[in-house]
Amino acid sequence: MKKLYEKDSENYIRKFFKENNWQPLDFQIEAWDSYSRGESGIIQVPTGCGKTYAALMGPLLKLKEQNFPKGINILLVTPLKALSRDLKKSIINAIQFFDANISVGIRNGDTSNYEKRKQIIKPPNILITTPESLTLLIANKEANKLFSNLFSIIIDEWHELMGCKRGNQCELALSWLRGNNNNIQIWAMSATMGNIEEAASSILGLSYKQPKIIKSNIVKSIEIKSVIPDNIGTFPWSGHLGIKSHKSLIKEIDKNKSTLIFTNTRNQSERWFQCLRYFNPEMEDNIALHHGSLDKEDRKLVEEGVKEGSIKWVVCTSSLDLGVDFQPVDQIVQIGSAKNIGRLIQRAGRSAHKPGGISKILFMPTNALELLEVSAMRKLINKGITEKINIPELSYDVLLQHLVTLACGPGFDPNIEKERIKNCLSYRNLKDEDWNWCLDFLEYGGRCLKAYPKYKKIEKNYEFNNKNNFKYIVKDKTLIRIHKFNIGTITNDKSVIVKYIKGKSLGSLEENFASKLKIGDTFFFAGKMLEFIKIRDNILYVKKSSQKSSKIPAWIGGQMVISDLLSKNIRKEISLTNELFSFKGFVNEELKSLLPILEKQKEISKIPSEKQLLTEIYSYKGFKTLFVFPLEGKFVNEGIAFLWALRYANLNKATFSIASNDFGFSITSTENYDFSLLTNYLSYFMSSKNLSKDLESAINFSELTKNNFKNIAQISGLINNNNPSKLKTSNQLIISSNLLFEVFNKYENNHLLLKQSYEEVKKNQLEIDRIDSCLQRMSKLDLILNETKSPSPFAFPLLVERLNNTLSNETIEERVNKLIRSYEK
Amino acid sequence: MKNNKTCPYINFSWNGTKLELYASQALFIPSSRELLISDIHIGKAEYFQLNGIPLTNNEDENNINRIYKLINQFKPKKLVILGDLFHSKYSLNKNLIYKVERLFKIFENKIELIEGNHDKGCQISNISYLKEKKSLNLLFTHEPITKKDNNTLNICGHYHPKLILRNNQDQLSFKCFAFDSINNNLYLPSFGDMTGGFLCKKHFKKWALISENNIVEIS
Repeated sequence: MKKLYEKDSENYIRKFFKENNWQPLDFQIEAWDSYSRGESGIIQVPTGCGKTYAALMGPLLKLKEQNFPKGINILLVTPLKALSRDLKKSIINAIQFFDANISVGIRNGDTSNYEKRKQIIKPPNILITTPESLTLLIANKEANKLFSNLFSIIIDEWHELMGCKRGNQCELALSWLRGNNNNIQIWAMSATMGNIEEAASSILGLSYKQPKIIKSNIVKSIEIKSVIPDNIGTFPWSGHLGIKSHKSLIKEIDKNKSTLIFTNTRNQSERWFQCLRYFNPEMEDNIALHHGSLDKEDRKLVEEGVKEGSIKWVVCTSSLDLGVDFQPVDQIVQIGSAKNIGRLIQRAGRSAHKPGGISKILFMPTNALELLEVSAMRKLINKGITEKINIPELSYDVLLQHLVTLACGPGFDPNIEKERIKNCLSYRNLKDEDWNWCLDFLEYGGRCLKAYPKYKKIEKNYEFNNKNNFKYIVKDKTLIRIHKFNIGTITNDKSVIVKYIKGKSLGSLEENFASKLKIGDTFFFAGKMLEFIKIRDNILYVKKSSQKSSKIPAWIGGQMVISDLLSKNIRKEISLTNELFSFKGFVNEELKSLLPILEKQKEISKIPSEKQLLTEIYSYKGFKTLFVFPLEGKFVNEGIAFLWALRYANLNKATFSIASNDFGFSITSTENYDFSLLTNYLSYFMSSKNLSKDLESAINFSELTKNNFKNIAQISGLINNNNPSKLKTSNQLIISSNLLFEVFNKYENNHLLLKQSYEEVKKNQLEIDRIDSCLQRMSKLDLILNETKSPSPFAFPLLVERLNNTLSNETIEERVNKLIRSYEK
Repeated sequence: MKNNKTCPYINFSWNGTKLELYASQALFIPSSRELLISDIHIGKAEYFQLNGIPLTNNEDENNINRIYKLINQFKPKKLVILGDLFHSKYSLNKNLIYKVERLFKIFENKIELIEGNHDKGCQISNISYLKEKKSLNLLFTHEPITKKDNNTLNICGHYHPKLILRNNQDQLSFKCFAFDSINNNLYLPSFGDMTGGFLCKKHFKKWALISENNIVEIS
């Protein structure tokens, strides 16, 4: 075996770069230096700038120096299976230069059982895997041996994992790996985010002082161009589709260039796909659809079609945000605001995959006010500011899963493990009391079950001849198998599979939509018009149809919410537009095109400055509506709407209907209701006192908590959706999460998992912290209350939204048209 | 649902034999003073515990208490349990056995038990299983029997009938009595509070158990 000639490691790497005619970038050199000093940290550079080699070269060199110790030496964790192949390619490219004897393996859900067994017997030096497969490895009895010579971990696209429970899962796995071996160097790679220091400490643990943070000075410029309809008067006001202006979009995109057309929801992607294909019949075979509910095989075909060049336009959702080893595409289109700067940058990055290249993105607004969002986004991107990514805190469900994983594999000593876990960023506030609860829950089934001898999950296993030392393990082989089948934190809503009657599968639909279909109904799915035939055993059988239909399935959770950072800057942007009227120079296309609308807003009501809170009252046909524009995200606005409706009702009894969007909300009641109570009771409306309590009585909290508990029950192993098919007992173990929820409520009402469900709803669905700070912010503003003769441009989308929820025998379009006619007079 | 008044039971007549379907998940036959319940699944929670899922119903406390309550309320000549008194032989323990034996002792010679598929291997002293029971023009079994003649009504359990009521915004599911007029089967709702259920077939006639004292016909 060759010895390393150069002591100076960097030189050796440079040789490799020279051989490939590459010039090392500053951040790459910084990363290599840092690694050779034994440091750990995070590399934050835009995608496609060569961060893989920045993180990989150091470990490769070390691997060579150490002469390949047994077991896995370098572990690469990526969020997506599809990225593994790409990574492997880059690694093989490098090891051919370093030493061809280095072995590389991929282990994920697609790896064959034979391959997996081989990897356990003779582990590769470098293993590329996903968080789920890594956890499965730790649940292996051989885990200690496998990882005993691990010295380097690289985590790819950490920003993708950090914001969800998969992030918790990684953190916990890393805490165990670190604890087993103090000398592991861990590096993560991440796109730009607002809290990179936190990201670093989430992978390294709190005890690691001053993680190295490497940022590149590469500024990837992003050029956003908005498609502005010729006549702003015809601009769609609401209905988040904007399909009517498709012509303006088609004019702008090149038919011969590979193009990704991003939409925000699956429903929207189906609609746009239908529309684009209808108006470009000559491109029928060159337009494709790609979203998460389509059949895997079909998605693969689309991905390959783009690679080969046979498919030019792909209408997609976040399903193509990352991963999928596409060559960079030529054009990126974003339909509707991306609502989040990080997401926009990521999507733009799918074009011009080269350091220093310019990413271009074409923006197609779906309502007029979205142009304001883009104007604000562009400013933030130029300043290099992006959102923070918050890792979920104290996810007990993931913790419980992790502990069972350890107990299935090498076993764990609770005292040692507790310290490791409290060293994780998201579990730093874990109380001893709650830790003990978790152990109780796994060993005895919880407080209420303590007296039940038959319960078993984890058990104490005492060391030979020593009554004080023990490890928790899972003894029952069936329990181990069930656990392994259910590892992971990605939960699905109940869905039914859509299949042609002749056999081919098309994808999946939500049960709720499927249950409303009658035989003979037609609907648009997977880009095809389908007729419903029958439903059997969770499979919905269809055949092709030539009928017309407007039914397009909607999926829950499709809605994207505007980020905190962005909404703050939109408030600035709106305030700024006040000066536009006197300012003669050019600002930007978006604001310029909005001038007529803004002028109208000013004429009817007012454009609020940052120091003002605008509210409007408008009466129409027996109804009176209060419009409020806090300019926060939709959910926050909605939360405040419920809160205020409740507080109005406390002052003066009435029934209200509510509508909300990213800009504001409306509360509607009968004509004689006096909304101006607001001015007299302002401090009551703005008060954060009893906020939780008031919200709980305004919103059906327990129902939300119960729904959310489904996921927690699944992650914590209470419900096992996947069972080894051979298992006879699995049928007798089916139970609904609702029943569990009720049982826990009845017999142990301070159950930690119930508490978690409640907290998650409060934090993620109601965003109670944002509501609280929004109330505080609003209480400092000057209230403007305008009675308007016609709805203002700001109010109009809310008025349309509300119509969705009221009864009428006219179609929505008819009613909207009527309103527009009366408004433009 | 047409009216808002609660209705604790509904009359069902079979060739002159009157049956009363109770919201409390029992069926009463006034002429023979027989009370029927089915599918209690005692020890179901323990079965889950055995498999690492910490479910409890306090050792079927509520299920057993409801049986006592029914007996005291109806003072039947016989209580007939249409099978699946137990969930599994693996999850029976001393406490559960004691509770059931006590029940049978207190109402000695008053309880009759038809064997269900879940009862296999659950042997308890003082209890003997019947395969089926005939009474008047009725036949009690655990699993449904396909039509024998036009005059006999088969009353059975096993199916755990359930139904879903839904509109655009909302949906709720309920246990129910169900009548299959093609095969002359009347299905009892499952009595146990941890039992799930299966949706009824389309042609079944159904009575939803909305609450403990409200039963409603669903057409």
